[in-house]
Amino acid sequence: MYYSIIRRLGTQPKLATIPKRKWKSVLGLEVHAQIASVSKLFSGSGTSFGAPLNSSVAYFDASIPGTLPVLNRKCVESGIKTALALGCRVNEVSMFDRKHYFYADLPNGYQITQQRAALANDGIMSFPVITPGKKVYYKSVKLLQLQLEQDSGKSLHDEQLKRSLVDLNRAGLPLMELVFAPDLETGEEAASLVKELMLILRRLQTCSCKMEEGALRVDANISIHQEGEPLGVRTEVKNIGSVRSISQAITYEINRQLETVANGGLITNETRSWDAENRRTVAMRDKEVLQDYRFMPEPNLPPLHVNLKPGSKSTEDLLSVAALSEEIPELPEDTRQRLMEQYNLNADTSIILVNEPVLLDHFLSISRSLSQLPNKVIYNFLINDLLTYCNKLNLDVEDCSIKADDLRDILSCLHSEQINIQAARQLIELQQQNPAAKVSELIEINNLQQICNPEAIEELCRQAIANQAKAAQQYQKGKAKALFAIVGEVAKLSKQKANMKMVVECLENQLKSAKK
Amino acid sequence: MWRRLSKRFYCKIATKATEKAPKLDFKQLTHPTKVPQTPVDTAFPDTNSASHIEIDTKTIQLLERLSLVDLDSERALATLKSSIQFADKIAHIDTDHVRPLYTVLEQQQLQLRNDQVTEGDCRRQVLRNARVTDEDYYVSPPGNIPLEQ
Amino acid sequence: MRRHLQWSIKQLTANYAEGQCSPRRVTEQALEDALKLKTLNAFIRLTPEQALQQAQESEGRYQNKKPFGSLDGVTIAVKDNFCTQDVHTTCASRMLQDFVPPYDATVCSRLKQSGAVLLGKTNMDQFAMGAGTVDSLYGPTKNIWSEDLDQDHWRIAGGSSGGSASAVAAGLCYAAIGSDTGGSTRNPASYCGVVGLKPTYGLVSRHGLIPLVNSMDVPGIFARSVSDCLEVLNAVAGPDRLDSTTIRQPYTKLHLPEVDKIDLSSVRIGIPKEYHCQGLSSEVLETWSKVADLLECAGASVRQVSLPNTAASIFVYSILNQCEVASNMARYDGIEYGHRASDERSTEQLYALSRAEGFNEVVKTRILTGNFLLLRRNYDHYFEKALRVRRLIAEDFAKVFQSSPSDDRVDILLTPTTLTEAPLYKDFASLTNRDQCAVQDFCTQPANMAGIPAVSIPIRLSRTGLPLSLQLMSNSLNEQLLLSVASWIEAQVGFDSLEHKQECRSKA
Repeated sequence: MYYSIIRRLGTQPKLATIPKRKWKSVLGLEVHAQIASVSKLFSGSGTSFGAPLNSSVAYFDASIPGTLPVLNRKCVESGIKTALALGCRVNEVSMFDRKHYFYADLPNGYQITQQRAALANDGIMSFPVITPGKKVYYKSVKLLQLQLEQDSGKSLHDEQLKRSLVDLNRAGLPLMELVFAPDLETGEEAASLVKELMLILRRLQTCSCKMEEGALRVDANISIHQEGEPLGVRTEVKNIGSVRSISQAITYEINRQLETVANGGLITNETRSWDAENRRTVAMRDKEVLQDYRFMPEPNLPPLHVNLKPGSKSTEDLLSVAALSEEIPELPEDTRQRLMEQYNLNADTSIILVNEPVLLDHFLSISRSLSQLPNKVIYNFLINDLLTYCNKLNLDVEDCSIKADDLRDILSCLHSEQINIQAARQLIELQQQNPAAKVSELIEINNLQQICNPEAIEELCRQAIANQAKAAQQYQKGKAKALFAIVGEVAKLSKQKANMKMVVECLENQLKSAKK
Repeated sequence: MWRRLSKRFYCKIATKATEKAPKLDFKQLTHPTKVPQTPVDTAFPDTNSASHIEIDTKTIQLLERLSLVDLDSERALATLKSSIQFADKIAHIDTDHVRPLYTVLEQQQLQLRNDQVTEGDCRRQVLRNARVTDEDYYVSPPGNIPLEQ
Repeated sequence: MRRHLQWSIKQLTANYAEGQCSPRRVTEQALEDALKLKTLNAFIRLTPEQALQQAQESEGRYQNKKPFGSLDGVTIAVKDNFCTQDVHTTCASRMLQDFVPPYDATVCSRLKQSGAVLLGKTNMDQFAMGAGTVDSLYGPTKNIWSEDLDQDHWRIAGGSSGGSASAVAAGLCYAAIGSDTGGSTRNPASYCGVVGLKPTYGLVSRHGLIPLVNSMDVPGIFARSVSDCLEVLNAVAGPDRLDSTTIRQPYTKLHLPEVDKIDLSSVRIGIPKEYHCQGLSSEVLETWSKVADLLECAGASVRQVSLPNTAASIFVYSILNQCEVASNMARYDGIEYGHRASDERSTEQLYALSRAEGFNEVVKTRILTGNFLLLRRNYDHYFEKALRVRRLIAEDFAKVFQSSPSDDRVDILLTPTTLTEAPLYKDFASLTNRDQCAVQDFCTQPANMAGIPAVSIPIRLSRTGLPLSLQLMSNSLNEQLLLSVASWIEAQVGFDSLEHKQECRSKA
């Protein structure tokens, strides 16, 4: 995306003579995804979130002298599956390294990671970019490296007593670090990449992707430069706590850099933290003036070998990449294609459904059990009605308690004209409030059946025409739109329950005959 | 090459106190010796004379910060310098096309562990060696403050 | 003197089984003797309560005719860098002075499983960085063969596992566990006149061994005979799920043939010429030549071979050692365990002061040098370079052990262990730690580079009455042949480990 800014030159009003410059923003992401496992990467302690302080800590996690790392098979499997899903080359031999730095929540004084020979390299990820108010487009980003590494512990800073409290439950949790090439330009692209990555990881069940629990962490490297010039100095933005704040934080940082440059300032290579509350990035105190991690091969872990032979099977200590690739489920992009091919959905609709896994599940299950119902009715109801309802309540679709069966029953009643669309929308609300109730009961109790009795309809229409005499006259004079007012009147009189198709027909008849 | 022991035995082993071997004459050899009787020369560059090892203050401060160990005396600095000179002795060895040997077990598959919880839940034991704790936390002073140098 | 001290482990356990003597009595006497010989400073800490408890239990098992294993009731000492549950493990440092591990090292738990009685923790150089057992928080360990233990004329025990060697040599225990990174088991074994075995890298678990150089550390075994050494090896060797660097194939217990059944005619002995370096004493040279001759007389083929990169090995060893030390020592910050200084201004200040107070100068210098060598700008030039030369060194061994024209091949290498007899403390202490190690480790550390097994066996006494020893090396996992040849030599030379004139013999 191009930004044009006009350089401000203090008091000298030379604006007109300076050409508008094209600025480009470049950003790359590093994602730390906690591998879903019951035990840690190198020790047998548990991984459950929110365990009591220092309880999920093996002697190894506390760096007790003499303890040694033993690699968790599941974590390697998950890493390989993720790498394959992202089109990576899995390396036949990968190695672990120590990365040294002192920090209170890093008990060993080093982190075990993969630097020289990672588990996998050179993947690619294509994903739809959704920008509000703009047309959806696809973007491709290279995945440079996927590596396994340990998480650090957690320290709480007690400002008052001037000390840090350290909990090692998180120390040694398994992480996959995914390093993406700086192929992105906007905050929306970054958010869309992460969104797609989360869909993939959830499909693979290799990461819970719960950002609020720190199970997925995103760091962004951001720089700006003028077109044709080399890349600018980059800043790193950390502590981005939700998908929503990804695009906010990055957009803010791009603008901050543009503004800094516009004001004649310089961008410095620094780490900045996203302050979600005040919606800005702030400079973090740097760990070291000059950091040198002194990478060194981890001597306690011989190289990790994998079997790359096609058709091979995994053995106790040698995992087969071919065998693991068989376990990879349908990926989000494949599902989108399938929705378009098998269900005749357009691209935008399939993107929305796939991006909201709950809606997708509902769609597939309802479409299967109500084959007579047009797919369009189903996804329109899901997207326009259910999703809108959830958005209105600021509710995640996942947290909506309505079951697919209930939605199917509502749609089925709608389809058989037992209820109309207004009643169906009302039922969403009622169902959410009474998750245990049956749809038929809710219709009964709340008297939501559609009025389809021709006599009742005729009576309602007569009444409405009488109430909206002026509109009736206008309609008869040829102003077709005036009919809406009368239809609205019927809706009001029937408490939204009249069968609107019948109402329109009936009104047209009545008004025509009255004219004669 | 030789026969395995047929069965367990206890006292048959020649114990040194009871069955003394005959006294050997170490001067007397039966065969022309294969042991070199003079030292085998090994030429290594004299890196000590090359007193080019100068470590600037910036590097010393960096090392202290990275090591969190103080290089407090002239003697310590001299030891550091001479250790580096000692390490320089292999610089001349031709290692083109020689891969680094990270581990003598490079051919062995790295063992993998099943994903099961087998440890942890031992807070008392992991905390018992910590000098300072507070309500099941380890305690450290405030972090991210550059070392005073 | 104590009659039972002359017995081998097999004889001791046979006597236990027959009720001729009792584990409890043997343990009590060992504890008494250890106190009498306190001047040796072999032990950092005796653990009488645990030892007597274990001895009592052992006695019960013998009474029930159900001993645990081949070491039931056998007294063993353990170097103070092996974690022992609920027993202080200090690495002879101020840093770990108060450290009480919550778990047992695999070596210790396997010894316990085979019924051994653990007497206590033995002295060493701080964090095993040394070759003399002179750099210990608890003071130096003395060599029991010294002309005079009280005056200034005492000899060093060697190191860094000097306490373990000293304890076995003094008859305080039947065997002891040490660690061997560059010779730390073989060197003191050589000086103290006992057998010191460094097994193949990965044959014995390092889990619970507080590391010096992870890629070279091996638990070592001291005993007064090759067969006793083997008894201990059989108890502790084999794969360990807790150590990813143990060799995965199952361990089959080794058995030595009877000495007169050992046929040397098919054994090929190599004499690596580079092991005659500057500083080799004439007595050691004479000993080396004589034993080579004995082997040849017994039908072995003996031939001179070349390991051209031998002399480079000590420099490589020094680089790798310092780099791994810099890394391994990073964990000592005083937060989770270890010495914590009283400076709470910042994490950095606390760490720096705790480390300044907790480590001795040797440790500190190795950390600083290691970090220098690991700096991004130096990594390739020093660390990676050293690893490349390490491959050359390992390939030297591979070539002599398995070179293709089969008549070029040898099975066993015979070399000195140390260049001289045990030096006097005052002479040794006048050298810097690095120079001490450079001389002491010359013949021993190449085996650690290649991961191959090596054993030091005492051969005879020098003119001054001090033990002179030789080293045997074989290809990886060839302990069977290595120890068989060692036991043959042992039988020929008839060295008596307890022949020194110290108290435990005279007062009995």
